[in-house]
Amino acid sequence: MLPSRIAPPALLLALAGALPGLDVDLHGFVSQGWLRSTDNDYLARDTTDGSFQFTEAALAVSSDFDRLRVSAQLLSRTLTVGEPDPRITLDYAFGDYRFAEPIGARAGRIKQPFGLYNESRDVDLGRTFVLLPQSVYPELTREYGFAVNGGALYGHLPVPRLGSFEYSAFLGATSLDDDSTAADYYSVAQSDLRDISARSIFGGQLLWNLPVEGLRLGASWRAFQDVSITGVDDTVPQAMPNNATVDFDPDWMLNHAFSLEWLHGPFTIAGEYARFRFHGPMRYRQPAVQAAADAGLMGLLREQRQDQEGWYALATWRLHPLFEAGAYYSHWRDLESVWVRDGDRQYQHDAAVALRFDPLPYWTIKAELHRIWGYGMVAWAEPVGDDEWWLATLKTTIGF
Amino acid sequence: MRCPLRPVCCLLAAGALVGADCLVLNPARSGERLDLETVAALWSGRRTTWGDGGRVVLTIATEGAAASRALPQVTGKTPAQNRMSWRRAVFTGQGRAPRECRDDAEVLAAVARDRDAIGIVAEGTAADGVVVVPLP
Repeated sequence: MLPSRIAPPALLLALAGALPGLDVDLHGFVSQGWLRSTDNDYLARDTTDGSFQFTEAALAVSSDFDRLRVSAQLLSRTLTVGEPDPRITLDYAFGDYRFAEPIGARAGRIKQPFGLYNESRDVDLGRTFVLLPQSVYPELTREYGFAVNGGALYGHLPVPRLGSFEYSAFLGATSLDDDSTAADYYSVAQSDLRDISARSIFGGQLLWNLPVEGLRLGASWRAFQDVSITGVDDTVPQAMPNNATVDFDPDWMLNHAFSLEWLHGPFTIAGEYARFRFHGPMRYRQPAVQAAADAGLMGLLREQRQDQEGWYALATWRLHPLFEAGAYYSHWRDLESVWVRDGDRQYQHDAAVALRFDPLPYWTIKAELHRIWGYGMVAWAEPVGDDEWWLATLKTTIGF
Repeated sequence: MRCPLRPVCCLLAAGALVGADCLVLNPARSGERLDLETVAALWSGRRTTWGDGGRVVLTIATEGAAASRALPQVTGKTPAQNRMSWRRAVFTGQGRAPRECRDDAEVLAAVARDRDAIGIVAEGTAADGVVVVPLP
């Protein structure tokens, strides 16, 4: 099992330059962003006061050995509702062997193919917007939907008169530190998370590049099995032990998405629909607390059940060699949740406009404005204000 | 059905000039079956290998306008969209950015030297030691 924590940059630099005759590709980027919301601290701390807690840096290296490609990337990012942690982590590191165009294999720490943009969600240079639509690509829970330690099979299949198909199937596992972004998100909600792990994540993706120039359709799915979430439930009433440890082991946890993207000259149109569902019992380790839960006392939950739906539609326009504009509407709804009772937390609609400026090939500057209704994706324990609010963000990235 | 692209000839006579922006391949690739969809898939990153499994090495010149003219025609994407697509490939570990050469002469030298390379050069370039495939 590959570690998902610190891998010294020296390792990658050694791979990049130490071995004679090695053909190595080295790239990187540094980003700095700023967030300002009119109500509701969102995606980072203190955004209502303006926050620069939006720094990213990456160093990527790859090398080809005939049909084998070895790739790795270190990443540091500070966007989280918890304490910003600029530690360098191993974003991905895998070997990729291409048997032939229709089939290849990857093994190591790999990104999960899901939707159009999950694998590239950290590549600011590779898109128009600062923030991807949160309805399908939630920033606060990215870690458990982003990469796995495991393997994948993938390939590209041209089919006469139908265009071509790209497929990917993966299997792996992941665990999150208790100071990960996802843990921070859930921690400030109800429970001080101690451990999140999914001992088995598997899924697949099929993309169809239609015989219409620039048009592709996609379907993705993934399932999380043997999921374990352990934390301290701070909602347990004071009369009960205040260190009530709860285990949540979902019976099942499923995520699927349908995608459409059309590139036509300077225009891009895309849309996706995603659904995320889980269900399972909660078990308290303290017998007295579990007995109270079994008896239905004090509002203690005996199960967790969630059904979330998200979709978006976006359009971009490269209106000038240096400028690109974009807009999207994103819709997220909590269809069924055992613990969410505030109506305004059960949805979040987001209308965004963005402008990207590329003064140089490897330098981009973005400005983006969001009008948001609801606060379903605001960290749960954060105080909430107006349910109609604004978010502005600026970001610049320099790469090489 | 789209017509396959055909090489002008296996090797142009030394010093012969190409008449338009064109693709250039290493002579070892003269037998590759190329059509418009395949060329578009190669330059947009959907296809990353040759028929024998060798990894495609895209090669362009940073000086000169051949790539800027030809790539939108080949991929259906603007130069900016192509750059963003390559960056997504680079920073996901799933591909490499095109090899950048100073000018078309360097592109030709790189393609002649590397059996896995494919390049774009401008009209008027002396195409020695490579297979020329005119763009439509």
